[in-house]
Amino acid sequence: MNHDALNRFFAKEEQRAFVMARIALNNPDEALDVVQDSMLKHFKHYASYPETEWGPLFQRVLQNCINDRLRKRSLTSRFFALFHNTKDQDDILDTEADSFELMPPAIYDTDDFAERFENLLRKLPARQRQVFLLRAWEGYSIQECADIMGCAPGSVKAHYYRAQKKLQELLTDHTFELAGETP
Amino acid sequence: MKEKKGIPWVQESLQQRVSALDASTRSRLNQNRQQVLAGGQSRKSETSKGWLIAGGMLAASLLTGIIVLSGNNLNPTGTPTLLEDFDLLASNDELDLYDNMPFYQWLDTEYNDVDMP
Repeated sequence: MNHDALNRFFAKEEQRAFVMARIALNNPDEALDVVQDSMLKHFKHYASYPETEWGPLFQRVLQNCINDRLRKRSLTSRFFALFHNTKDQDDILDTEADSFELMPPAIYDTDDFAERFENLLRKLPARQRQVFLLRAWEGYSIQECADIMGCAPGSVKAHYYRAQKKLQELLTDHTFELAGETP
Repeated sequence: MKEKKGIPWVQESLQQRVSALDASTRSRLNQNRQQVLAGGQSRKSETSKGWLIAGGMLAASLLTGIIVLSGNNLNPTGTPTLLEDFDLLASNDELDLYDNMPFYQWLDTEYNDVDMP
């Protein structure tokens, strides 16, 4: 096992992982715990894997750790999540999922917007937020997201589509001016 | 292989949140990483295990207390309790005696009635 390589990998990932966990859990201390748990599990189970595979594997561990926290917090939300994951709904949305493109706000490179955007992301349901961050931020493909989240590619498309639609509404509701939109 | 590189303005915005992390958070992340790489358990995990053991012992004590109390006081129906079962199994009496207990009780009553003046 190459400790230096693992140290570099964790050092590169930990801050983004922390922000991702903080968005999901809305609690910095819990986010720190989740990132440490994820690193520990990755260290124990995947350190011997090829370095090129570490990224998606670490994301899978991180997302599972976040989900475990969310489940512990609320069994009720887990119950309702079962109904959101029905295959029929996902299949219906498969065809239109690729066509939607989230419009950017006119000004998005300020600290103020970044903070408000993080708060907006918390308004998304857990699975939608998860897919959105993996896809829009981390740049993973549909198939990679499906592997990380342990679900079908169709579900990823559906969640991603819903997440973008919801964010578009939220961005509009919060009086962010969207680029390309005529006033 | 990645087929799409994400949404640039989203990446830029969230990267600002990463850049805005304070020194304390960065330091704690670094400490946690070093702890993991040293092969140690997280402090949190050890604490959790401690609580788990303590909770288990407390639950066992409570269960024992409930069994003892139910054996001594809480038996309004007259059915045999767990402690009574232990008494039966531990005694040297023939089990046949317990099987025919109503008969022997009746016999005892009859015998006493006959002896009375």
